[in-house]
Order: sequence, then structure tokens, then C-alpha cells
Amino acid sequence: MDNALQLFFARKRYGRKEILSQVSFELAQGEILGLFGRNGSGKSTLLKILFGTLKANALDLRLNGLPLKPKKDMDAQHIGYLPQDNFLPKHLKVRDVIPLFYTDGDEQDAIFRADFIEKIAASQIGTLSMGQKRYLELLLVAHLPHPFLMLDEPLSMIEPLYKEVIQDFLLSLKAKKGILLTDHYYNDVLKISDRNLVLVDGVSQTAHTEEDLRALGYLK
Amino acid sequence: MWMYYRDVTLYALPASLVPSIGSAGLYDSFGGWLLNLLLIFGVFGTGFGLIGFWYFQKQQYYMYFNLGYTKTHLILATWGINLAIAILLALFTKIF
Repeated sequence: MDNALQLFFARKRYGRKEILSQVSFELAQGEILGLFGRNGSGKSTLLKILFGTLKANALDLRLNGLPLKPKKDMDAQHIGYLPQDNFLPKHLKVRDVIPLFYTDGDEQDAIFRADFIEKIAASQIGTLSMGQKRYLELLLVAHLPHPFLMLDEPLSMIEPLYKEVIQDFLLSLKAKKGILLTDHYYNDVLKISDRNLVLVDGVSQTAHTEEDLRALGYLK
Repeated sequence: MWMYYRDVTLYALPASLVPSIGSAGLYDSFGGWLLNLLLIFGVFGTGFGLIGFWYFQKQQYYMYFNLGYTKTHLILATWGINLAIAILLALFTKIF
């Protein structure tokens, strides 16, 4: 059975400022849900809440109808997260990082055999380009067993070659994951997303086309 | 997990040495000073190490979270191991 992640509501305020007030969505395995919003609209806040690294003021999140507490259930690996900033140890070589994520030889091979990885296997993480780092981090997180993935700007500041590889990889990943994807490169997101949401004044609104993004004030 | 332990402990060791060297004058024997060092390392060292890790490497927490480790798990395991090492070494020092 395919898993379904349902967010009935998430509320978050910092002091008097309410960042998220009425946010809801449903995400099934096999779907890519695009998430848009202007800077400061709460996209990263929402992803961190869903991953469990930020506490919401109120949250009703369910996995297949059962309540999910992201922080408490982190060890069950339901939701994976690619943060905006690079998180791999800079001093390690690519070939030394892969075994940190995967102890099984076949799983390690799956990463080593992915496009471009063999070429950079002997390089230190700190010497990789932005695109190489992002791609490697995505590969490492995406192959973990989480049925759902929250991706925060995986396509930003990436050279075109890696952007295409990442887009293809995300499409191939759809078969076994539900993906919530946020990025300011809206055309790249629209190209691969099945449905889209826009956060406007803390409220999630549905968008289907670029025209909808314009109507909701995300684009001019 | 072991990389986290190693990274935190690499901050914890020098951070524990500084106060114990500072208070070396209070002890009239090397054994007494060593017990003091082990007490500081076992009880407070991991806390110092966590501050170092948070300051210089906090982004790496996302790697551990994705692997299913919670911060509580990481901290308790690291503190537990360091406390156990400190107790064993303290007993060893006392006996010999």
C-alpha cells in the first residue's frame, strides 16, 4: 500500500508574527508536491516542522491516518530532509561519507554507480562545487528508507548540468517516495511537480500553473 | 554515531584540560590532579564538547537526524560513554 502523509494544520508564530496559520496538504508516495512562497513566507519553517527540528505551536500531521509526531518519531525514519545549507563534513572524502550513510555493500554501490559520483569519489567534500555537493547530499538522503522527502531548494545555485540530473533523479525517485519540493526556480519545480501549493500570509493555496502563481502574488 | 562521539569528544578533551590545569595548584599529587581531570571530563566534558560541535559543526546534525538519530540519543550516548570511561580510568588510578 502506498503511504499518505496528511497535514491537517500547522501553526507557527514567532512572537507576535504568525508565520504559518492555515497550512494543509496531502502527499502520497508517487507524487511531487511543489511548495512556493516569497522569502520569509514560512516554507523552510514548514519543512523543519515536518522533519521535527522545529516545534510548531500546533500541528496535526498524520501518516496513513495515524498521528505522527515528527521529533518523537524521527528514529522511525518516515520523513527525510534536505536542508538549504550543506551538512556533510567538509574534511571527509566522498568515498568515506557514503559508508556513514549505508553499511550495506549493495546500497553503497547504488550511490557509487550514480552519475558523476565515481569521478568525485576521491575528492574532499569541501572541494566540490555547489552542484556536486547538492547532488551528493540528495543522493545520500534520497536512498535512505524514508517514504517521504522534504527538499529545501535542491535546485538553487546549481549549474545546469547538475540541475537536469537532479530533476531526472527526482522523477525516478517518485516511484517510491512522496516528495515535498520547494525552490525559487519555479520553472524547474513546475516541470516535475504533480501539484503545487503557495504560502501566502501563512495560508496554503493551491496553484496549477505559472498564471496561478502570478494570481497568488508569488510572481509579478 | 561514532563520528559524532569522536567530534564531540575532540572538543571535550582540551576543554576539560584547561580548567584542570588551571586548578593544578590545588592538588599535591599527580593522582589527585588526574582524578580532578577525569571528574571534569566525565561530568562536564561532554557539555563543553557539545558547545564546540554546535558552534563549528551544527549543520552536521541534519546528517544524523536523517539517519534516524535524535539529538537526545546522540547526547546521552556520548555523555554515557565519556562518563563510563572517566569512571573506569578513575578506578584504575585509585587502584594503582
